[in-house]
Amino acid sequence: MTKDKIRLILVLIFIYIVLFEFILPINKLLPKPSLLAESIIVVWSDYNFFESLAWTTTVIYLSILFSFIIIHFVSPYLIKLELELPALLESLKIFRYFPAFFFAIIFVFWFGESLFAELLFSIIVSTLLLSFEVINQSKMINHSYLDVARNMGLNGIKLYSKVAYKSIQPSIFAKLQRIHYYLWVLIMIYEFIGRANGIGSVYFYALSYRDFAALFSFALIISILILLGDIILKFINEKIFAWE
Amino acid sequence: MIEVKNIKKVFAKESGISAILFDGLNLQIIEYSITGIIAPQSSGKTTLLKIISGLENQTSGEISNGKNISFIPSEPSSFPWLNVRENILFGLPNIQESEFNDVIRLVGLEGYESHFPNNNSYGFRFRISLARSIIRKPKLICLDEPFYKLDEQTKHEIYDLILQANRTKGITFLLATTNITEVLYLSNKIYLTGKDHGKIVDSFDVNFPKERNIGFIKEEEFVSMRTKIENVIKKNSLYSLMNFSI
Repeated sequence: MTKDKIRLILVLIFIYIVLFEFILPINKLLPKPSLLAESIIVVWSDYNFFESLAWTTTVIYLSILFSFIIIHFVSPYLIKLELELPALLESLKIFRYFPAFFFAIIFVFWFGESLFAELLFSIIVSTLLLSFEVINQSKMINHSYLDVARNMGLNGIKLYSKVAYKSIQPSIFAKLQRIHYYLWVLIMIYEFIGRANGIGSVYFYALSYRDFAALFSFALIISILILLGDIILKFINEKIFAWE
Repeated sequence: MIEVKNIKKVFAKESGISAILFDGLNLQIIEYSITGIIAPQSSGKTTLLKIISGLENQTSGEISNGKNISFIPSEPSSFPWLNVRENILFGLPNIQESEFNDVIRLVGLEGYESHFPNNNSYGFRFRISLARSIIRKPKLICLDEPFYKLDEQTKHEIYDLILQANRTKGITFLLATTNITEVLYLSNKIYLTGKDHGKIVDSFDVNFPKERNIGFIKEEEFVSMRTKIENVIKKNSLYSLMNFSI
């Protein structure tokens, strides 16, 4: 983070404190800073927040890991299909326009409060989004790589796994970083609908108790977690794809 | 000798109509030589080289003695996720260290074995591609417009590298390009193809001294040969489709 960004954040915090602690302490826009500070401490016990947080983060990061592993094995076949039968996969892309939250509702309807169902839902969403990226990136594969690999005797699925998939792997991982944020939102919606587990359900109860400060406390904690997740993913990206 | 005999290539356009790219194309590539093809832009040079190296099928005709032919595309093709050493040895099960060292020395990449190619110049990446081909001991290396993205200095270095590989290792090259100067500087035999179905318009035997440097392109012997080829190009209305840069 640059010095300018830190300076900007400090200025915004200062304005927030002055405005909402002293000038507008009672309002429906933002909670009083002192109340927010107090809330950040008490939500952990009042809402059993740690358990909810553990549940949601487990679902999100396990599904990211699983989907990346699944894509690692499936990608060569997807690339092969895309390069050899492009019309087939193109027609499947129609599902992109189907709202993901509908699947969330259906999963909750089918499986109730099961952690496994939530994890499965998250893996499916994450894998599907990564698959679309693989299909998109397949169109941009440098055909020189494929030509020289074939010229060196590489054929069949090995050509796609050792060369084609390798060449698009950084883009797939970059997409995973974007999916990371999307998953946080989607899983919280899933939990909000299910009302049984995770941060989404905690949000539901905080909203029904009209706990204004808690709503903001959760958002603050979650945003820090997303930021940390993002930093870790970027770090992994730089380590794995240093050649990029 | 590798012989390209009566090659015909028909392909279907997007509109569904068939188009003939080559019809009755014949070439002879003599071992240990550098053969050049000067062809107009979009005349199917890449397709021809791919057919010769077995990457694409011809509609009819044959390539005699056409096994183990290496193809170096015009775009940099060294894999960015592998370092220089891994790139060169890609897919090779066993290779002696001395052989590897020999090749890496020849292409001027000694000391760069652990470097990754992505942040390096086109010239660097071309050297990797060339080393990768040479180490496989091919009968022929097909070069598809290999120099068009290189700066002048690097281009001249690569010219010398190709001449040296041909001279010292006896590697046979087939070079396809639109550039008259580079094909004339490098080749022992030049084929000029026309716009019409890849028909050979003329061929030229070049007998320049084996030991030559880039300054040679200003010598009278070179200039007169170049003029001769240019005249044939003009006569066949191919002038606007060729590259005359030096």
